[in-house]
Amino acid sequence: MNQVALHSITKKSAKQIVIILPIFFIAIFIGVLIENYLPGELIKRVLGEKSFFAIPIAAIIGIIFPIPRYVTYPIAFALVSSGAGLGVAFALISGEVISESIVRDVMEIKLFGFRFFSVRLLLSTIGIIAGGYIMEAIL
Amino acid sequence: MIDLLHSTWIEFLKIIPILVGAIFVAQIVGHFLAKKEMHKKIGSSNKNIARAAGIGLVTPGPLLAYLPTLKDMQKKGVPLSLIIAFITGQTLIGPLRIFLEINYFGVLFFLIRAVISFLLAIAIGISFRVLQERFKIIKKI
Repeated sequence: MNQVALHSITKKSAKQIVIILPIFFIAIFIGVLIENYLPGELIKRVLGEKSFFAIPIAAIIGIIFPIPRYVTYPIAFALVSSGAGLGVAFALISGEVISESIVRDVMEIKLFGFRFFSVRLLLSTIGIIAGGYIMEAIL
Repeated sequence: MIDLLHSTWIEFLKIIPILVGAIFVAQIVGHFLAKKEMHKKIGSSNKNIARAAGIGLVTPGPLLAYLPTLKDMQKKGVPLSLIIAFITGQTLIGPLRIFLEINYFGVLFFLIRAVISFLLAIAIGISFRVLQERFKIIKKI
């Protein structure tokens, strides 16, 4: 790797680190709040392995809420630690990425059209919910 | 409140080296993955859905950076089923996610999620192709 490449990689990484670190701190704080204040019983009842709607709910939350990249990990981990199933973690993490940011969605619609975007979103949502149930069944 | 912030800070300090390392690795992978060669790697045949999904899985960075290249590829004849498979794979898994996911949920969770994501990307690509062949509205895309 030459010096120019190394400089470019370091610069881009530093930029990303500056953006991600504060968001990650907030996400960990939310995770700590969930573990400390949300009753485990409630999480088990709504998002636990026995709740049939837990995975669709988690997938839709992941898709609808503008959660920044990667910050679903500490939140999903806190939910699993408090009694949610691993299928919920799968659905939340995967849901977050398929409709990640408004800027990306607008760009996708601009380049490929609204029909392409909506068909992709629909197919991905169905797939993620199915994937969540598979994950739940395997682990 | 101070206790909560203290717990957050401890957890934050633990994740910093993983996060920083993961970001560097993702940038290195992104640097060597030339966008211009994507078309060659993915190909133009409808049969390459699995390949497009696989390339998507290992491609780092935000999808936003790849959208103009993907549009160019579509103009040059790459079917939308391949593009949708790539987008699905690219968004679901990435080099940075490997480190975070293993740290929080373990290797097994990551491996299963990666396999499910790969299969999902293929299934979505195939479903899109079937829908395009059967329904007029999607044909017009």
